[in-house]
Amino acid sequence: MSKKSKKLKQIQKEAQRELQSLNSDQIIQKAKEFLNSDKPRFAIDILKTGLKKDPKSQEIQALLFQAYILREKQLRDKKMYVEAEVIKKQAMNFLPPIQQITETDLVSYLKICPLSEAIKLYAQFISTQKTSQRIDQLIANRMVIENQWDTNALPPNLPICKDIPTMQQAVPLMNDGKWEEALDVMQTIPRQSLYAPFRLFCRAMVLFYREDDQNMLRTLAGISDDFPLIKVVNSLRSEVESNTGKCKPNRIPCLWKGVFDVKDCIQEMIDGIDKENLNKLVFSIKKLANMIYPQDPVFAAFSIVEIVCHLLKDKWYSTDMLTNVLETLPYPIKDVLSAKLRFIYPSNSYIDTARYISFLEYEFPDPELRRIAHSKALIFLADSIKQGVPIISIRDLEQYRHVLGIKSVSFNMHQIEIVSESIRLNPSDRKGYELLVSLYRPSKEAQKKVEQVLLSMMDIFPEDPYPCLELASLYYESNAFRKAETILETAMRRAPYDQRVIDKHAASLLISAEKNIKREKYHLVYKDIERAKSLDTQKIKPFILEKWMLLLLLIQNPQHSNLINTNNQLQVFSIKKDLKTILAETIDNLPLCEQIRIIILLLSDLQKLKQNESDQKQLNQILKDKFKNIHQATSEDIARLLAPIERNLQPIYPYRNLVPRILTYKNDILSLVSDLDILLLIDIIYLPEIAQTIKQDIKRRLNSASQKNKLLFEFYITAIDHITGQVSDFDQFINIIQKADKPTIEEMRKASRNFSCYATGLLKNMMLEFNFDKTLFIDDDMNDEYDDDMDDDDYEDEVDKEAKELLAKLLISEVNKDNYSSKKILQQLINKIEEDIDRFQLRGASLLDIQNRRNLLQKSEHYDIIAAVLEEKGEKKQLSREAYIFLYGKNKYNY
Amino acid sequence: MLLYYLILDVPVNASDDVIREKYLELVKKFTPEKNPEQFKKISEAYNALKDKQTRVHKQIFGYSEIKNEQGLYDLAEALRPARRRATLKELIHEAT
Repeated sequence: MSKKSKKLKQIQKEAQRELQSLNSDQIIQKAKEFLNSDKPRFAIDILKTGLKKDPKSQEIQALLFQAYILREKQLRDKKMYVEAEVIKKQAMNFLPPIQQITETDLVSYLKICPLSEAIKLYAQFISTQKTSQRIDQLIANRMVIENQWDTNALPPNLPICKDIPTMQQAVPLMNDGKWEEALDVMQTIPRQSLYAPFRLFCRAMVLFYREDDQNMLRTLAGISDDFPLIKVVNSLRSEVESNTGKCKPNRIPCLWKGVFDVKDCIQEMIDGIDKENLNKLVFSIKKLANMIYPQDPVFAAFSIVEIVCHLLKDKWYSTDMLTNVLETLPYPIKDVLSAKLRFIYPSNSYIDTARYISFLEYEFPDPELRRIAHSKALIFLADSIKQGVPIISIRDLEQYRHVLGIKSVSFNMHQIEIVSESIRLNPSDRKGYELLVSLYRPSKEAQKKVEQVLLSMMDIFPEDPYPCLELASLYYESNAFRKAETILETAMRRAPYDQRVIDKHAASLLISAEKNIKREKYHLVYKDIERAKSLDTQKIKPFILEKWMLLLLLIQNPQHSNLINTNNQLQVFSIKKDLKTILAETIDNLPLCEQIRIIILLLSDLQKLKQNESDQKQLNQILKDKFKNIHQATSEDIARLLAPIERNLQPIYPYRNLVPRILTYKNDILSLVSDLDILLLIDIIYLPEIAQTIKQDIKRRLNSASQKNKLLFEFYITAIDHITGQVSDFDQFINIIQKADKPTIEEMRKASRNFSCYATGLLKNMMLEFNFDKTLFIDDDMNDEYDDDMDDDDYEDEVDKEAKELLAKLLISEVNKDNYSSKKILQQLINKIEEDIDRFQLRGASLLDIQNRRNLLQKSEHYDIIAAVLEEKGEKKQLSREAYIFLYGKNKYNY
Repeated sequence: MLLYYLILDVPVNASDDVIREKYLELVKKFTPEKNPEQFKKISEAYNALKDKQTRVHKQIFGYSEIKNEQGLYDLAEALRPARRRATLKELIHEAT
């Protein structure tokens, strides 16, 4: 035995001896001191000694009971449940008789004894002593917590027995987590009830799940500290208070699901990005991936890195951080993400899209999803081509042709082919069709492709009139009137009340009326217009009124006087009216600008038909008078008057742009349009013959324009100067663009694309790509990709050469009297001209547009020779309308 | 994308039917009257995942719409631990 333990034993012996020497009162005094200082073990020891000395002392027994109860609690708090049970049994041996037991002792015992026994003891206690509110509350709490409600031993008038039926209903609901329903049940429990704290707690829980924390906090304030679930109450309080930084949250796990450290981890990541601390960033990415989606941390990391990369994209070329971040992902995921980022922020949209598509199998293992993804990537590519055609080498194009769905050599067809491929892969996506229809159709081949796709769309969306309407437009565009009418009938069957269908129907009736006017079948015109009127469409109404007035004027023409007499259907026109009356009856109630537009159209129609010359003169005068009041109209109304007639009505009004005509009546009409509307208007009305008027108007505005508008105006003036060949200094564009902010540059880019239609050669390319750095286009040190391409000028030379070769071949075959070869070569020449029409984007263009382009582009004399040859051989009828106008300067048909 | 799967608590390869079932279950639980914010989030997630077309579109272009760190904070917000519906029994067990 060590010296230390020997000493300890000696001290214990001395203490024992000292205890033996104490009398009962001293022992009781000492035990009370131990109990007061929470030392029940010492109290038990001393009281046991005292009990040996005086076994009948009731005071010692009572104190021993208290000491055991206190010790039992201590052991239970230390989670020593077995030891606590032993001590509890010993305590029961010293339970004072019920007549003598104090309320405090009884409360202590009732807390630990079985509930049924507690109720019995309390019943005895009541019979000998008075009722206790503390004990009432204690038993009520225990009944709720243990969900036991046998109170037969207690007198029924006790507060404890009230509300038991309600609680019996509510507790099982709370045990199922149905707090809202339980609260509804407990609504009848009064504030004074022993069960009121549970009602408050239940209400707090309901508010907790509603995330109404402030009201929850208020409710929790009504619960006292002796509530059995006070730990939960404190936890709920701490959760709310932690948000204001008052304390740290003390969370009870069963109240929450999810991970608590995500926000901190994300904060770490953002710090890593801000401070460009790669290690910190990579570590937090990995940690976060495992934290948020442990089922598939690679997928999670892919997503997180993707977000980070988008955030880092501004630093894409300036630091290698992005590459390093991508390196944290395993192969092949890192390559997939790299390809995806390049696809979204392309340097060459063809190549970047094709590369991303080749990686789709990793991101979309499901074949169906992969097909949809492929389709969406193609749509994105077609859209990005709208921003400017990227330069791609023939070699690269060959490599990716299959993936991108490109079949033709002509760049003009690429967009249509890409979108068609996208639709083939994902036929149920409407976006593809809508994009396809909105694309410029540069050739007959393109029209055919669009027609095929729209026909297939009719099958895929059997109730939708959209493909029918678009097909009708397409057919009208190529003058296939009967086909257009048939398909419109299908549209009407599909959606008779659809406004788009009604408008189109009205337009088709006007087209039919127009045809019948030319054939002088006025009774049919009357029918068509009456039917169009009955459709009551606001959009087409002005044009219906115009055709109606035209019909009236034509029928009243003395040369048609016998028509009214011979045709019953035209009897309605038997009462003659003069022009002014017709105008007054038909359009007087319309706004001034609308009236002017209708009169201009009417006058144009009469001039085209070479009829009613006196009416023409009158109309001319009326127009002049109307224009005197034009300053009364708003800028918006004038812009609407100047805007071209919608494309749907092109078969009726091939001269869609009325501005040149309007300028003959009021040459400063553009000055009445506000700065806000003018540029938008110029984008849609620009024609080479009004270029100078537009330029003068913009120049006039320069002095009073805002800084932003000033730059835009300067850009427009520079563009017009270059297109009209007055200036050739591309640095002017660069200087203006350098001064502009991002949104203004975007507007300039848009304008540049619009103007590119009127430019040729190098300027056209620059405007299309919105890049005015000459060296990029003509420098010998261009990149390899571009070396493989042919630029426009090369292409034109090539075409010239080809045409000349064909003409030479034709001459040889003529000399040899080889009719078969001659015919073949003539056909090739016609095809060549049609190709040129497609290349110059003249398909579907107005007479005026084609004539203007003819003047601009007919620099090579071979066009004149071809025109003469085709005329001589009687083959010019084979030419399309556009090719005919282009070669001969006039319309093929008698419009 | 991941965010939406986490909000709806469905696996990344879940079918349309599973996503719809989960969505209906969640909107029943988080009604717009009682949990407007949660309901908005659930609806947004469902709209992004409801069919293959939108799911693929979001998967490809969803993250490029993120303009600043907000995307990451949104992720944190969406992953904020949810309040679990505890029973009285569980709370008693925790408290005693």
